Amino acid sequence: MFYVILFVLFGILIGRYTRRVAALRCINSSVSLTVGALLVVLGWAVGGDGALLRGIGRWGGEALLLCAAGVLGSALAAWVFVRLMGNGRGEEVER
Amino acid sequence: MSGSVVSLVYFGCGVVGGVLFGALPDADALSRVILYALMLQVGISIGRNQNLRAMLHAVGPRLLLLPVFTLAGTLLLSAACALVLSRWSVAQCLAVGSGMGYYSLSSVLIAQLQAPSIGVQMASELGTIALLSNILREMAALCGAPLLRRFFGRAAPIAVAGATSADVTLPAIVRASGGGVVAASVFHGLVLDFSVPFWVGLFCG
Repeated sequence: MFYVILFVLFGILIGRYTRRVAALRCINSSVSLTVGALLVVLGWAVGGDGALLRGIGRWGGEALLLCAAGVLGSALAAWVFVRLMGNGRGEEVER
Repeated sequence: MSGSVVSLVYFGCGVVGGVLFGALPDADALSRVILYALMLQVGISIGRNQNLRAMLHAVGPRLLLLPVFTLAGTLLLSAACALVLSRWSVAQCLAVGSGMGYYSLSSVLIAQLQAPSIGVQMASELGTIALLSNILREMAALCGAPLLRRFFGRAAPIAVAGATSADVTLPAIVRASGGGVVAASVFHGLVLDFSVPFWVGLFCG
């Protein structure tokens, strides 16, 4: 995790001093492609693990339910947070 | 929405590749290198933003509470799952939920910490459920960010991303909720990321 932060900070420094470099204008497209590569690797890890794939029928339902609980619980909590902390308009998150 | 479909296509291509050609050698190292490259690019993208100073000021004192809300909401509904999943206790459901999308660490921790009390096989099963559940959560955050933003507000993509809101899912969050949430998202991810070992250890203890 510390390396992740270091890479972000290093990137911010590079970006800060290369604002006029035209070659870096396509950085957002490059980010999308890199996210795609990460998703392919993630999918490959799931597809390449025979035990994980065979167990999906048995464990998949339980995992899906726990995932749905986490997603719904955190999304509802975020909605409540914006209502309580952002005076109903969520302005602090949006600023 | 097209971004979500593209993400699913990328993931689906990976699954098909894995089924046809088997596991990638050194997949952990490969994904780590890609993640570092992604973080460097995200950093460059932030650094090139002319409004960086205003963006950093956006993390007000109230935003410090967003990780607390995320944690509370996740744990509350994860505990409720124990009512349906009779095989697992409330604490075990909480341990899976407290992975917060950090699937690699939480699954290994759960498998190791639960082995002495429930046996290696059951602990491995719970670890695999944690792995799948948290991978699915990351996928939901990556692919569903626009929908979450639409139905639950701007903070929802950050909250659902959990510990990954500081890195992997940050670009999807920014696309859905706008550049103004970058600082809040990174802070949220960092707090939850550091808290994962503590919560998983607590519920597995």
